[in-house]
Amino acid sequence: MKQPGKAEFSPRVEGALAQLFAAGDPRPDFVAGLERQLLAQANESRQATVARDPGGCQSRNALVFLFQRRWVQAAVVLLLAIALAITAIGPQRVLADILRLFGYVPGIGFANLEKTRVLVAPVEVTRDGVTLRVLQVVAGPDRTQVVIRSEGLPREDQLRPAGASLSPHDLEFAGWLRLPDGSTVAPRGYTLRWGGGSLEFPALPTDVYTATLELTRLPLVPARAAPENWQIALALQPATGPLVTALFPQPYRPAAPADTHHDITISVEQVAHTADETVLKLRGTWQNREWEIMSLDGGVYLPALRDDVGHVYGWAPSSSSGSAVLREVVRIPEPTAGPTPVPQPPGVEREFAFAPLSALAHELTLEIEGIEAQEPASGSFHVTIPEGAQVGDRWPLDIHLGVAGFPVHITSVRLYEETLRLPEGPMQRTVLGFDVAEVPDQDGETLAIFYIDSPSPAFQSGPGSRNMGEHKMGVSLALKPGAQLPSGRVDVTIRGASIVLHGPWRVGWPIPGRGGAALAPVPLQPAGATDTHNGLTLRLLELTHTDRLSALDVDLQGAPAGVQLGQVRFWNARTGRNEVYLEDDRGRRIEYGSTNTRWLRPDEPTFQAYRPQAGAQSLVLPPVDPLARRLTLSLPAIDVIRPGSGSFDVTVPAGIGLKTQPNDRPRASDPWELSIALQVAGFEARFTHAQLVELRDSVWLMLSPALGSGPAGGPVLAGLCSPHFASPSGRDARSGKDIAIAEGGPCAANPAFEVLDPASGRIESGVYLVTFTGIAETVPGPWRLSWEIPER
Amino acid sequence: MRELTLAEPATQAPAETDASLAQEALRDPAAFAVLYRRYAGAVHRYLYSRTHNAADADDLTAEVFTEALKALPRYRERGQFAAWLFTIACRKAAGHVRRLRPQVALDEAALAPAASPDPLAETIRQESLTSLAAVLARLDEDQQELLRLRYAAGLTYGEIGELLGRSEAAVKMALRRLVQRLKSEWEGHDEAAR
Repeated sequence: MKQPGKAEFSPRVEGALAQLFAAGDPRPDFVAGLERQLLAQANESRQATVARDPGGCQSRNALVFLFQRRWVQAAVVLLLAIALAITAIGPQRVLADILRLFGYVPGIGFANLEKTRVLVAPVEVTRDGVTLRVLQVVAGPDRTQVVIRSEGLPREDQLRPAGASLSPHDLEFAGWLRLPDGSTVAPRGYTLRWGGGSLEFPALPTDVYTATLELTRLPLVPARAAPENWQIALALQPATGPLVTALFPQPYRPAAPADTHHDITISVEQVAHTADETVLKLRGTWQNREWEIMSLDGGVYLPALRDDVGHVYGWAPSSSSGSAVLREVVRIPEPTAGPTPVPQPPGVEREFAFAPLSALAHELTLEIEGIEAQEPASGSFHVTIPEGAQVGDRWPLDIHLGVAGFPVHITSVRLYEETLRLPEGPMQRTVLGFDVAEVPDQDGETLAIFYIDSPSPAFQSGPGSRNMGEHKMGVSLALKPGAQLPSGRVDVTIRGASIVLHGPWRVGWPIPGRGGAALAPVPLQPAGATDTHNGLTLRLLELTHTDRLSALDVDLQGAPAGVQLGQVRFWNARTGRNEVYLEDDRGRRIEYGSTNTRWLRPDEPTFQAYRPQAGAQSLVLPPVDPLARRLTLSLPAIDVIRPGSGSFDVTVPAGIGLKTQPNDRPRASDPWELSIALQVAGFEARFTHAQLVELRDSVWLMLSPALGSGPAGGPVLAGLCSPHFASPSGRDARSGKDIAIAEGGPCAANPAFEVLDPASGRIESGVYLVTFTGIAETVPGPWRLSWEIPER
Repeated sequence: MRELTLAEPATQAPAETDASLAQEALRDPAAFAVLYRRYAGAVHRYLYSRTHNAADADDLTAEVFTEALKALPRYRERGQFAAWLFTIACRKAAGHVRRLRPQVALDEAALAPAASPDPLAETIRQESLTSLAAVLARLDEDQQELLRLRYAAGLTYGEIGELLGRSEAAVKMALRRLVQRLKSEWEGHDEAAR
């Protein structure tokens, strides 16, 4: 890997520069993952080029050249044999036989197992309670892959506390294959996880059927934390169709695998199910050659895989890469110029790993809500910067443009300072930001953002921002470091746009080997699953058990008018732990947070934004033991929303300014003292300080201390609900919730509101009026709801 | 679960030139993989220095190598491979627009444990680098680009010269002056801060 330039002029300065820029070193897993993508892409391109090579004199020469290669001769012989076989015994049967040489190898991925040797069964060695297991070996003509796992190790977080980084000693892992003649083969790459991983070696000699895997240490496990110097003997067998069928899940391709919208076709090319994951290989192709689509994961939501029972399978770390998305990108190359070019639409391929399939499911549906495409766009406009303009100034514009077919209205421009949060510390720069009015969707397409630049020597392309949900966007030019803000005309050019094309693309298919209709689990409404604290009764409304999850709905029972369940608290601040769990009569505890499969009721859409609402709350936990007969749901606390109105004033002093803060914190004012005390619903709310903070291109007032931080034990005032903020000039000031400064839900523990006047771009000083119509109260538990499980 | 992927850094075949690897890569993808391993870190460091965002640098690095792979047949004899590759990287960086990335879901944030504080030595080192970054920010864009290409990307003077259309000697002279300027400004700043 190319290293930063060596010091020649000043070791200290140049060393510091290298350190500064070393913050940009890529993560090793990213480097290795991208290498796999590129290799796959290179192989695919090469094959596509060979396949598409047009006729003509040059091509004949190329064909002669190609045919001199033995692998091409072999391939031609194989193709002839396949053609003859298809003619003789029918296409379906031949296809089935060929597919048997393809498998999904857990820990490796979709693999062509022709001309490979594989491990017939996992082998393991146990020492001092730690087991090293070799799950699979695939020795192919170009590489040898070995998948290993360990059991019995201490937990990673016990040896490495949260936040502790890998030390160089952790990487002192070495492994090799020792061949029967005593020689060794060193790995050329590996993907490591705690005590396991996938090791890749060069191809083994074709006559080698036994080898010994030797490891100095288990991967990523620190020295002396587990037995070291491992040896494990491996015996390989040639992979044959029946063996591959017996050993590996057989990938399949759905019968009707594609859906098309906006001339973009999404097809499911391969599917494989294992006990740990469902892996899909998707292909997207499109007709518009001006589009560049790098991803199939949509502009707004991630692709979702759902079944006919009600499970929505979340993305899962794949066994082969550890990443949720296997970035096996294959860009299908543009057709080369030639006498008879074969038009090939551009495309992209990706693999996605999802949580494992439920045994109840009979059908699967993949849904992709939207796809983002970059496309070229042109146009220009100009803005005139007044003499003496300074940071904080804003002036109106009325510029109408057509960008990629969308009507764009630029309403104003403002000068503001942006703090870049660099790893080495904050850095400020001046930005000329353009405000863009909401751009309406057109024909199921959303203009997500467009890209601008300027020929002016003082400016460069600046940051863009977008909020797809609210159709908001901003574009900007950034003043180059060291440049003086010019006055007068600044030309701006448009050079591209990003469009979100809405679907949904929906591809459904029956799961092979599972006939008939799905057996939908029956929702249960157990009687008497209630608990009472502080005069409030929480009850279990409904629960559904499947082999993948337990879905529970809880709500308040017989609550007074206007009192609603706000949210379930997962975190117990006193113990510092997540304390939502199910416990069965056998003493097993099932913790919240360890399932990545959602439960979808029949009337719910697959894609929905997370917007907490008062009322019944849904929880999804991992599945319970089928032998359990009694369950108890434990919750550390709940938030209850009660009516309770009130108001108070907050004064922003005139002339208050923002200062750069240390430790990568955003610019902020000095905090100033307040004395706000209100009596509401039997609680006293008290705010003692306020501070202005610059976030997301604006300035916000934050009150402290946050409510809910009082002594634990009894109910605590946790927030003010539905707050409204009126500025001194009477405008409605935006709530901090709009930009997620304050927490979600209808109530805020630390009310925050915008003090930057959008019209002037300046901080509006004076008296702000804060009103609210309800309060949130945290009622501590533990809340314990128990019920019997009927015979299943 | 913590995971780590590494390309094996140890035993390397005898070093082949970039040009021969680029030629070989037209037939053998493994040759492109060697080039990739040679330049992945440099390209990423460079793009991070332009975007200040690791995720964006990841995306752009993938785009640079994807485009390089696609354009490899057109590379032939176009001078030094590194200069050609960084021409793509410069163009990608110039076309970069930051996206607002998804925020951590509320309950995930509530479940996340707090990070442990940095040791004092790390703080001092970071402060020193912060002051250097501040000095760097005062340089004009061309000067910053020169430093990025040399100290983030690790290009030689010749490669930078080819990329920027300047002679090797001119690049070396410019860098020497820049480092001397940084030395006086940063070391003065750094000393004053102690």
